Amino acid sequence: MKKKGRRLKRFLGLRREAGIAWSGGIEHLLPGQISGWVVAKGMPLQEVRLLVGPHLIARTEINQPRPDVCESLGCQGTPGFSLALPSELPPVDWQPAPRLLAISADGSQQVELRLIGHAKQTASLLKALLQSDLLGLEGHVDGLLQGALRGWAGRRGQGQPAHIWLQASGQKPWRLNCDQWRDGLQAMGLPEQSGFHLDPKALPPDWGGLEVWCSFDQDGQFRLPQQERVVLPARLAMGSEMVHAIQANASVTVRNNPPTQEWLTQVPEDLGHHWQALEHFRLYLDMIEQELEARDNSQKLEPAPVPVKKSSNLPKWWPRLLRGGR
Amino acid sequence: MPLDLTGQPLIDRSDFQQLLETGTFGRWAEQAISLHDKGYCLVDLGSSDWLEKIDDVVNALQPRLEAELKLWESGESGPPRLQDGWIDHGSIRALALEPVVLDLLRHLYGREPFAFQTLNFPVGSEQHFHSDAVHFHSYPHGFMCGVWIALQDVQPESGPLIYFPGSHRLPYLSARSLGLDREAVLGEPHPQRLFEPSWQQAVSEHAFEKQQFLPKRGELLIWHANLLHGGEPVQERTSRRWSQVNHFFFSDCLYTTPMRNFGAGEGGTCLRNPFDLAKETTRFSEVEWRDVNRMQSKA
Repeated sequence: MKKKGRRLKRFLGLRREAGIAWSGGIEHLLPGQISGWVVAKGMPLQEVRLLVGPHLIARTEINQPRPDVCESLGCQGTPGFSLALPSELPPVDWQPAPRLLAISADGSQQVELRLIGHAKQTASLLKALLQSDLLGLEGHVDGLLQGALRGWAGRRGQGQPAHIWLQASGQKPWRLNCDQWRDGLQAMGLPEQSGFHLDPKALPPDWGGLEVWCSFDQDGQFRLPQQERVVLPARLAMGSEMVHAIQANASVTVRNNPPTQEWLTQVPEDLGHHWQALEHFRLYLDMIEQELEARDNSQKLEPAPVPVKKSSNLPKWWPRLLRGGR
Repeated sequence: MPLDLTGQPLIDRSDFQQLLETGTFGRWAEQAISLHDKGYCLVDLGSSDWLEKIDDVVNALQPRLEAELKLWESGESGPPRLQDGWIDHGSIRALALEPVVLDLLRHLYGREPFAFQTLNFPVGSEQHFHSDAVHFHSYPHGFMCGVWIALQDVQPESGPLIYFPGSHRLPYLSARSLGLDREAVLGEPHPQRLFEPSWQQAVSEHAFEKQQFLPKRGELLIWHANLLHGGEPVQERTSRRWSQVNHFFFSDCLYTTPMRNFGAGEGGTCLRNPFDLAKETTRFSEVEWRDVNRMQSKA
């Protein structure tokens, strides 16, 4: 029982080390950054450091809001961290395994962070990442937009376009070159020609209906972040045409989507109003539909009744939305 | 030697404003702001002692470079230059080790500077604009700079120094980051040429404005490791533009030549053991350098 409990705690990232109870770990291990969260009882942890032997490779403060973590653990503060990795490292002796440490403000306490759910692989994955030519690469999968899989990947200061790998269970990885023009990358210090888009029709038919993701490496160890699952149309040729037809007139702005939690906490107030307004509109359409349905039914049964004006909480300007052009 | 790769020159740090307000830069606050914002700063030492030292350099080099200057004037050679003239000329070494400049660099970078190379030019260099950080750089990044000294008043027709303020914020480049082929780099007598299209593109994309430096004798310009700078074409070959460039590294770093840095499979990183002019010896002792090489071989 105790053993099972320990396993469960390990899986959830809960453990006790160096005399302090703490929880957390690495959520995302990417060539450009390592992110996660850590919470310690009694002794607040302030900084995350990446070390290879005696060499300090990178450091960052633990200061990012993670309302989801705070809510589930019943704690306060900003337990998230995001550690940017350098794009180039000097030659160092890799014999001691790389370690990611969370350290208290006075340096008296430290805990070693591991990948949540894959603790044993942490050292080997970190080492593989730091020694690889992928180091410093950044990227994002935007999703299936306007009939194509879109996103970007690149490295600051890099001249040659990066390439990434499209992955699907049971399929051989599909190489994607990131050499397409993509708005907004220059502001991030990346080459503008770092976008990718893939028409699913270019893939073999047996990719149809599969969930896909992208990775920086061919083995699929280091995945590009994406906001939502991407499932290819079941029949690739027809599916992609349909998607294209549906979205042909839609004005889709491709953005660098941050993770959902971040987005939700940062959504501007005016967008919240728009959201609410759309919800009101949907309710208004439902109401009209119900009213028409009721009228049809009543016409079948009896002479038309005198219309009764329904009281509504909706704004007075809502009906104007349904009128024709001026 | 434990390395702290998170270290940054004070003038590059994100908390620069705070450092400024707390007086970290002392009497060099104006230079710190300029180096932080524009990638260069100006210093006028102005003392007669300093000007005497400058005249000593020109007097020492005039006879030495006379033959080369004649070839240059007749169009038979490129602009002459003297690298590491400090070995033979104490006056050059004195300019490179000027205590006031060392004090300034110590305050602006937060580490101990050491001069590792001198270059003397009797005429405009006509160099394509470039970042020094592809020729020599450090781990952690940024601990390198150039100090350019006008040994005479500079005239517009003599091919003045040019620079692009703000370009120091561009990403640092290396053969690896540009995906340059090892054979192409090693086979090119002037590998800097392989980087020039990237710099031209960056200047055009960011609309960096070119500025000319027309200093009076004795004035200094200090440039950030990544500031794009070069020399205008010389209009009049009989004109002179005596100058000295001192290149500095800082303590507690590894030193490298990024234009020869490739991926792990292509030879990896090209480390260097720079010469310390003040100590008149290489920066790493024989034992230390062996350790660095051992570390590299294990990598």
